[in-house]
Amino acid sequence: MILDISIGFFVSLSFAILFNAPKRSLIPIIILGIGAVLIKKYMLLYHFSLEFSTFIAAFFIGFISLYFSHKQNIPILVYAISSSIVLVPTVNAYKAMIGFIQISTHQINNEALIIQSLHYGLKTWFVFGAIAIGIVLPTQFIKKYRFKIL
Amino acid sequence: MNKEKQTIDLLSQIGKLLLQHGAETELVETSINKAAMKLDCRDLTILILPNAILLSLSSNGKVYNTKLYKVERQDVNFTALDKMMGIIEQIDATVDSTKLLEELKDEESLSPMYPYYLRNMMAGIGCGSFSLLFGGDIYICVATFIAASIGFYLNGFLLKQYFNPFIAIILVSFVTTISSGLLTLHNEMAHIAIASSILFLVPSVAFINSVNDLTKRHYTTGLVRGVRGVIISFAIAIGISLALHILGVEKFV
Repeated sequence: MILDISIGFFVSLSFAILFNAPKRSLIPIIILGIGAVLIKKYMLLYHFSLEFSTFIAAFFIGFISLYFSHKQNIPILVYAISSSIVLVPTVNAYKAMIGFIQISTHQINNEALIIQSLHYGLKTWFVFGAIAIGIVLPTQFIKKYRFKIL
Repeated sequence: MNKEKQTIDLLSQIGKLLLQHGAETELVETSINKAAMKLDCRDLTILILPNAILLSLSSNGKVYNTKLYKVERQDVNFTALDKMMGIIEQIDATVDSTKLLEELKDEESLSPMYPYYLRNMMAGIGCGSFSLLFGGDIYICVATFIAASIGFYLNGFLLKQYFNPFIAIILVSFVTTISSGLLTLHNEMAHIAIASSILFLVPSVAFINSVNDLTKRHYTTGLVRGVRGVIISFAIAIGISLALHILGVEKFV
C-alpha cells in the first residue's frame, strides 16, 4: 500500500515536471496519480480484467480532473495526461514486440508463440483505448462544465 | 483596416501558441472565439488544420479579410497553456492590442521550462519507480533510472542539433535499450527494465489528443495526431529491436 502510494506520487510528479505542468497543478496531479494506481491495483485484486480496471481508473482521472480544471482554470489535458502515465501497459507492449521479432526471425512454426504475441498486442491496444476513452468520456456528457472552460 | 489587421494578428497568435504547445483542437477554437467575443468582433470563421490556422474576418460587412498562419513545431509545454488561459481572461474591449501582441510574440518569456537538470533527473525517477509497479526490485529500479537519464539527456542533445524527430527517437530508444540491457544482462527481470526505461518517449499527448479530437468531430486533426502517435511508437519499436538484435533477443524474453 505505501509502496503503491509512493510509486503513484513519484511517477505522476516526475511526468508532470517533464511536461512542464504549472506549479499550482502539481498537487491535483499527484492526487489523481495515486488514486489511479490504487483503483487499478484493488480492482485487479478482485479479479476484474486489466482493460476494465484501467478504464475505471482512467474514468476516475477524467472525472476528478474536470472538477480541478473548473476550479483552477487550467485545461483538463494538463491533469489527465500527466496522471494517466501510470496506467500505460509497457510490459505488455514489450512482450508483444519481442514475440513478433522472434516469429519473424526463426520460430515460424511455433503456434503458441504466435497466439501469445497476438494476445499481448491486442491487450496493449485495448488498454490504450480504455485509457483514452475513459479520459475523454466525462468531458463529453457534462456539458455545464465543458462550455465554461472545456 | 489597421485595427482589423491587428485583431487578426492577435487572435492567430493566440491560436498558434496554443496549437504549438499541445492543446486539442476544440480548446484552440473555443479560446479564439472567446478572445474574439471579448474584442467585440462577431463575424469570425476559424479553420484549424494540424499545422496551420485559417482565420476569416469580415470588415463592415463588405470585405472579407483572410489570413493563413503556419505552426512550425509542436512540443508539450503545459505552463504555456496555463499562461495563455490567463491572458485570454485579461482581454477586454479596451485593451491595448499593440502591447498585447508584443507580449504574445515574445515566446521565450511565455513558455518557461523547469531547469533541464531537474527534468533529466525526473525522467530517471519516473521511469525507475514505474519499473517497481511491474514487480521490479531495487536493482532494476536503479538500472532503469540510469538508462532513462542517459536517454533523456541524449534526446535533448539531439533535438538541439535539429535532428529529424523520428530519427532522434530511434537513436534514443536504441541507446536506452543498450544501456538498460547491459546493466541487467543476466537478470530474470531484464524485460521490466527495458520496457520501463523508454517510457518517457511514449506519445501519450498525441494519442489522447487524437481521441479527444475524433470524438469532438475534428476528424482531420484527430487522424493526423493519431498517425503521428503510431509513427512515434514504431520508431521506438525500431530502436528497441535494433538494440536487441545486437544484444541477443533470447536473453531478454
